[in-house]
Amino acid sequence: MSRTACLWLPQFELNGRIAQAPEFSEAPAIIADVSTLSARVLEASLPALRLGIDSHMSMVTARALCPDLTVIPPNATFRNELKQRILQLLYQLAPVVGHDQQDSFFLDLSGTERIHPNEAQLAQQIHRRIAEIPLPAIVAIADQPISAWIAARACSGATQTQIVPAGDDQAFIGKLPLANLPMPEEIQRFCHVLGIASLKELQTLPHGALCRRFGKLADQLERRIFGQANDVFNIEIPPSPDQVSLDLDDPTSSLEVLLFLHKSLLDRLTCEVKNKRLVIACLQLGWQLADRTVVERQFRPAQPTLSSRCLLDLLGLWFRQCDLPAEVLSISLSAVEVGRATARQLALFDRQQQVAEEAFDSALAQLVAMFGERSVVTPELSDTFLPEQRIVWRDYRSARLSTAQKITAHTPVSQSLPPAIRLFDPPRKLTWDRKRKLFFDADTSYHVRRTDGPFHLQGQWWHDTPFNRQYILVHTDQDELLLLFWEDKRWHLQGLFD
Amino acid sequence: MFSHIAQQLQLPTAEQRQSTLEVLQSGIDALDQLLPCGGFVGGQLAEITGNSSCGKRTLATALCANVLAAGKRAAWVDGTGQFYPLLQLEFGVPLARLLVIRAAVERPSERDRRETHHSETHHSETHHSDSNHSDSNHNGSVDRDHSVDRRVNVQPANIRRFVDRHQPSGPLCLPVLKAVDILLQNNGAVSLIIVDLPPQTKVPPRLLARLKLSAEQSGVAIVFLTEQIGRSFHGSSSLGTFISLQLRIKRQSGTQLGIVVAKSKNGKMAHQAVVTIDEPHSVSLASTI
Repeated sequence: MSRTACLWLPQFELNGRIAQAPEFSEAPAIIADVSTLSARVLEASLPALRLGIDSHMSMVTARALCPDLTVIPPNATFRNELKQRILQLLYQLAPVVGHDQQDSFFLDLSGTERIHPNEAQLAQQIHRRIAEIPLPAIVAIADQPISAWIAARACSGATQTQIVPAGDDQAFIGKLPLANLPMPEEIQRFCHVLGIASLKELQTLPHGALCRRFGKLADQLERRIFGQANDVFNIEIPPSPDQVSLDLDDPTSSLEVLLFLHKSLLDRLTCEVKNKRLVIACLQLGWQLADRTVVERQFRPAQPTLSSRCLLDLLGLWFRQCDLPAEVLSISLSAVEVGRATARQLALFDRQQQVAEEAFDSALAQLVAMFGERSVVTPELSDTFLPEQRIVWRDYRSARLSTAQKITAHTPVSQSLPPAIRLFDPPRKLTWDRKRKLFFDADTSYHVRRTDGPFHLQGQWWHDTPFNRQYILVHTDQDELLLLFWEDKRWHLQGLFD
Repeated sequence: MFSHIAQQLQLPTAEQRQSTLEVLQSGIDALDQLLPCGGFVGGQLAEITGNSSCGKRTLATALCANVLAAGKRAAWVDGTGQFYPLLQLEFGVPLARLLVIRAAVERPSERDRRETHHSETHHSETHHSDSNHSDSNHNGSVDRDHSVDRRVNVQPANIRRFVDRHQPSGPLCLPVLKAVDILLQNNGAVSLIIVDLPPQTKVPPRLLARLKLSAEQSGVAIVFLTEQIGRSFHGSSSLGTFISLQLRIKRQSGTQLGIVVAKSKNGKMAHQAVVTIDEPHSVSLASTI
């Protein structure tokens, strides 16, 4: 049977802010977004709760109750970082960890019976880890996530741990008052009218009765009161550190070669990190040496950065000092610690691309000025038949403007390697010497060793200039590969494969 | 001696300063494994040489395609006017962003004809301007100063052609090198430049030295494609001592290319590899129908 642990952190963000600024621990403080028109209290500290200030209370009421209230604006970044920090602590206890996007974290304990045979000790471990932050926490363990969630909120007094025995979810929930289970207002009024005061009485209603009365609104509630709902939280997948690696075919200990290779890897790594709008705060280098030893070292730049040159300088300083016992077989670089990139850092990273674009445009303008528009071109395929007309040389500027061709980095290139052609335009006329088995013209002669073909090409018969060609591939005794065609009772050399 | 002093002072040497340059891989496993640093190094000059139809343009095109696929820019300076990547485009090799500069290589005979035409044109203009001048003076129009034209009586037969004894023979490659220089001066414009030189082209060493310096400063990899005439597979580089890497290519069969590292400043001298390319007829001329 599966078990789930729920870690409830009441006033999650506020307690985290108070942990950073202890001076607010004694004063009544709330978190509220006062920039909105009808601002409401989001979270209230313990002194504020004692004064009667509660969540969802209007700011007007809250200030009336306590004029000296300290209002802290919500900080999504801080909240997210705190959440990630807690998740990192919980990942060490269970493989599947989740979050309900509010103030509760869940650990799926399925399959961890041998790791955590005693659930009470597991709850203590969770408390000890959260105490590192520190935050007040309540831990509950039950069969279903919703049962654990309800059990955590049902803890009273100094109790910080609640363990529901296996198979007793329904019975446990039944003992609790109605207020422990969040439900829509309509259903609350319905229960009040009917005189239902506890969850046990709600459980006595026939299955589906609430759904027939309230429709979809009651579907989730029915599953929860019977401890059958497991859609309380979203599983949080831990982000794996960005890593790049390279296996060397030839082990090396040459400083130059190693720096070259690390530069390429760093460029890829910074690009991946930048795409997530992060910066590298700590870079881990891993080398596997030829003597099967592993060298690992971490490098911290002065400030989290996206500059591969800065990181390469750190690597280079250490390379020159270190004494390798063997040659390097494989290299891995990983961004073990990352931070949030500032707008300036992202702009500087993009600026490198922008500078390259500006330099390219400047070079293009100079080349066009020197050689003309028709000499600065890019190849494009056209829908024609004759090989010499298949490529259209389009001037580069108009080609860039007309088609938004953006090739993303690391586009996989086809593994085929088609040969390149040196095209003679116009084709060179050759004469065939049958006796000596060679083609020749005024400049050169080609002794034939082998031929492939023919390949017949005929078309445009509806045109004034139809064509009818027989193509052959000629292998010469000098290892050249020629493309010839027979037309108008004459051999023509279309090109060489080079 | 200086490197010893630099080491004592712990100053970075030229090699260490160059250590931040990138390596461009060709995407051909056999070739990348053969090369000393796993690819063509930015800031260095490389040469791929071989007989005609040995497969050097095939390898260079594959290198361009891999560089373009990595999101970088590549340029092909075509000095022969014969670059035609038909099969690559038909096979979907991404060459759409390849910048091709069709720089005509000026031959000495063409230069002489150009100079002769210029002198004849100049002479006819001089005569025409003289007559116009007299007419304009007669008509009271603005008088232009043709004193220089009057003093020099330019005749085609009087043109003295100065032969630069230090100028190597063969077709001049100045337009090609100028195009390369423009790309290098705009730092960061491209990551790779392929320079396709015609046969028997000699590059003046001073220009090559300047290109090498510009390439080092900009971090651009330059690959020269040169053609050897005749069957000789072993010989000196036609581009002198400024080349850091020279690969000699020989077609061993219709689809097998033998590559030898003939020169390398980063090791792996005389290492060899065989690269397999596609059969031309397997890519089918019928695709053009």
